[in-house]
Amino acid sequence: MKIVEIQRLDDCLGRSIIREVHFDEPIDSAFIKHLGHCGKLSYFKEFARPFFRLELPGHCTFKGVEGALSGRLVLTGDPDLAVSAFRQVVTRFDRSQGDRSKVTSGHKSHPPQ
Amino acid sequence: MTNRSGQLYLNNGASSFPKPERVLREVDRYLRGIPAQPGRGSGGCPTDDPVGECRARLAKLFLAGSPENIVFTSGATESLNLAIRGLHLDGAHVITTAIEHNSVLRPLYLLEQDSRISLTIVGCDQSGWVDPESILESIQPDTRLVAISHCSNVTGQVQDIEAIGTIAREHGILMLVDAAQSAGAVDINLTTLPIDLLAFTGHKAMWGLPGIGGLYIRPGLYLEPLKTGGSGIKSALLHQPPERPLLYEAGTLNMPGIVSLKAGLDEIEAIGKTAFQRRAAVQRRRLEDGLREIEGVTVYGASGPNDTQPLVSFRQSGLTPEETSYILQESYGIICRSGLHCAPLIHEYLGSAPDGTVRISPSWFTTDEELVGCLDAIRETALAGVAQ
Repeated sequence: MKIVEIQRLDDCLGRSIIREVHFDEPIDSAFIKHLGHCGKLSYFKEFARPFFRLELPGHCTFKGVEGALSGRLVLTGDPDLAVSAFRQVVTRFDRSQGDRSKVTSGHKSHPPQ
Repeated sequence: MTNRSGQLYLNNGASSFPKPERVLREVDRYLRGIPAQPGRGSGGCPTDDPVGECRARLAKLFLAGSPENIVFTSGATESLNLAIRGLHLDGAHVITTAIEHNSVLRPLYLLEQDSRISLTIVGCDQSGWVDPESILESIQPDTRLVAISHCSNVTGQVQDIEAIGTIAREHGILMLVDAAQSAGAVDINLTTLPIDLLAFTGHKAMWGLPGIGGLYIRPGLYLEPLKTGGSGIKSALLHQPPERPLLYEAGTLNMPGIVSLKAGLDEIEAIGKTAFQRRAAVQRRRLEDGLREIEGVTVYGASGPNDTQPLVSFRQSGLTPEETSYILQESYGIICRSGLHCAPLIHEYLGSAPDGTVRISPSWFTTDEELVGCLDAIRETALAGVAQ
């Protein structure tokens, strides 16, 4: 899983700093499981397309839907540090290890099985 | 209406989609023919005058008197700039309101920043309603202009422009109305309303293409043109022809836009304005009532008897507006809009600052089932808020 582009989103989207992160392959359950190791993960399997949200406190929130080629990064800390922190999350993903990961969501959502 | 990709477009407050078949057909017909440019020599069908026909249609819609009181622009933003800059307000006091779009605020702030005008921003209540009394209280001896939106693009609240315009006229103050959201959707009678300038766009309720709009200029009121140049006729003149509409329409007109706007107005007339407005009011009521029934949802704006705009803003507990709209779009294929909606001041009054709201705006083509589906999706989306 590689980041191919991080695109700035300039719209009337309130005052948040938002980036669209494009990947070289679709976001799948293994990647979402991996995210559960990196921060607070919420996963909503019951939505029409399963939705997830990862919080990296002090840095950013990353969210998206399973099967998509991109996700949205909302920067809550220093933009450069936040993007860097998220890049590390992606870099650390090892697909061969993905299925052995555990999701730590801590609420009524349904992590990928 | 769901498109071929299975997406449901509920962002008609930004730009209407889909356009009626009549609009698509007429634009297609125009683009396939030899370009007709009024007053620009050969080409096109000699009996066709889409510019004149569209201008007449608009004058009829707004009861604006002579069609020449309407000039074409690229949209409400250009119209508002033409009005605000063209009035030569140097040294004057101007009143505007917190509900305004940046297309009103930014030209005024620029003049204020250059110390050319002084500016008073009148507040609103939690529904986006501007009390005409607060306009009256803000009038100063040097006030020359009141600039106000007819309908808030955030809450759908329709203002009492008759009362505000009457106050302005009684004090010898010009009244500029931004009808970007209301034109075509709400009745506007320029014969009876005390309005000097009315800015509108064609690509929202009137189903035209983006890039076409206009400005009504009261007879006898002079504006300095924003631009000068070719007018197609009177080419020997070295100055811009002084008569309307040529004075304000330098350069090649947006013919596909004008053709589309005319077709959109024809479609509204074919449907019937009353039926059009009644359906919009029903949609608004359904949406607003449905949203209020969902736990954790706060709805912004009230439905008064005149608030017929099918446009509702809301927020969900535990979710930012951006997050709600993102989930609706990515998980459910529902396209709406979130954020400040280019109206940055109103949110302080609504209690929706700094992130703004989620805005849902259906159209004539949106079915009842689609609205129910949207409400169901928002109900499910609430789960993500609970998890926060």
